[in-house]
Amino acid sequence: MTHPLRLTRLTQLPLRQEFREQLAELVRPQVEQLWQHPPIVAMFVTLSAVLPKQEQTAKLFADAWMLMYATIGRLDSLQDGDSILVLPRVATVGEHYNLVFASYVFADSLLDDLAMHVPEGCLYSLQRLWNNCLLRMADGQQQDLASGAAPRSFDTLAVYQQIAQAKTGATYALAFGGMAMLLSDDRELADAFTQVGEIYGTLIQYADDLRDAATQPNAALTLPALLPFIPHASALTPPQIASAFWSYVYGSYHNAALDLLAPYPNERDAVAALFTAAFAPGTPQ
Amino acid sequence: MDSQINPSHPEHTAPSAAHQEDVPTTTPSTAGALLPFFGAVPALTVVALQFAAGSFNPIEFLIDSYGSGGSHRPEQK
Repeated sequence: MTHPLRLTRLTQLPLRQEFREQLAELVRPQVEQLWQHPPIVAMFVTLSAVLPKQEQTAKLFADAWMLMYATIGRLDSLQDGDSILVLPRVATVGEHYNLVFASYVFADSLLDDLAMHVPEGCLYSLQRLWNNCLLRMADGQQQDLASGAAPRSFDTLAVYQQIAQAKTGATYALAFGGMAMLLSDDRELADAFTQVGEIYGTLIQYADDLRDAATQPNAALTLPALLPFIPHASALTPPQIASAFWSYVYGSYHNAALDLLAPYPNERDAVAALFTAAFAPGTPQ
Repeated sequence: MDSQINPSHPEHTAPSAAHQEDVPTTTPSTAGALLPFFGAVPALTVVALQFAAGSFNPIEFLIDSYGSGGSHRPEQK
């Protein structure tokens, strides 16, 4: 039976027991948390249901993506100085960063197991997509880390979107596109799903920023910090502006996603249901 | 900084299915240091201007919001 984190792979290498345990301590809590995050769970359930059924292939990819995302999340927390509830037993932040590096390499290496399930060309394409998206994520993170003190205006919305799209949008583009690439032979469908995933992930970033407005540091470049620059009806209070703007953005992005899937009615319906489940009023995210 | 980035440029730049690595994947930018947006994700500046320009009716929003018992935002955890 496959270990939930597939850590058994590490036992085949000449690694110290302590290192393996530290690595497990690093990734386990965050991976388990991600597997309970409704937009992620709903995403994989939807993609697995709507694409031709290859359960083991889907699971292998989902495991790798989840570990990658957990690793990126930990890196982000370290760089932002966030409080981390469950720390690995290491003495220095340098050791912690090294574990993050090892965790990413481990996540990437999990893709190797797909070679037993998909053609070589498909795996090559997936690895290229993976690396392209990870480089975009790194670019977005770099821009985010450097953006704190810049003056803000209405045009800063474009910078904010660029960062959100590169960081979170690319992450979900990889999830959607990777699953479609592995589970379908239709390249146009995979391209469409990649873009739909980018819309989905970007919306997740917007929603998270709006939800977490109260806990964000003032220097953070987030959507709530930019709402005052949007021309709006003065009849509304700031929370109402946030709510109304979210509603408007969601509608635009939802429609853009469904337009991409117009040639694929079954997939379009499934994605429509996914967006509703993830973002609709009253649905916890 | 120029916010007039064309959101409907036909040359999408999302990380496509990785079959086109030799094909340029970015659109020409008129925004100086600002990179172009990627793929089919609508430009937030354009959406914001549409929002402000009257596509959004605050009276209807208020009626809808109170009438449905809440906002359209995702609820907090």
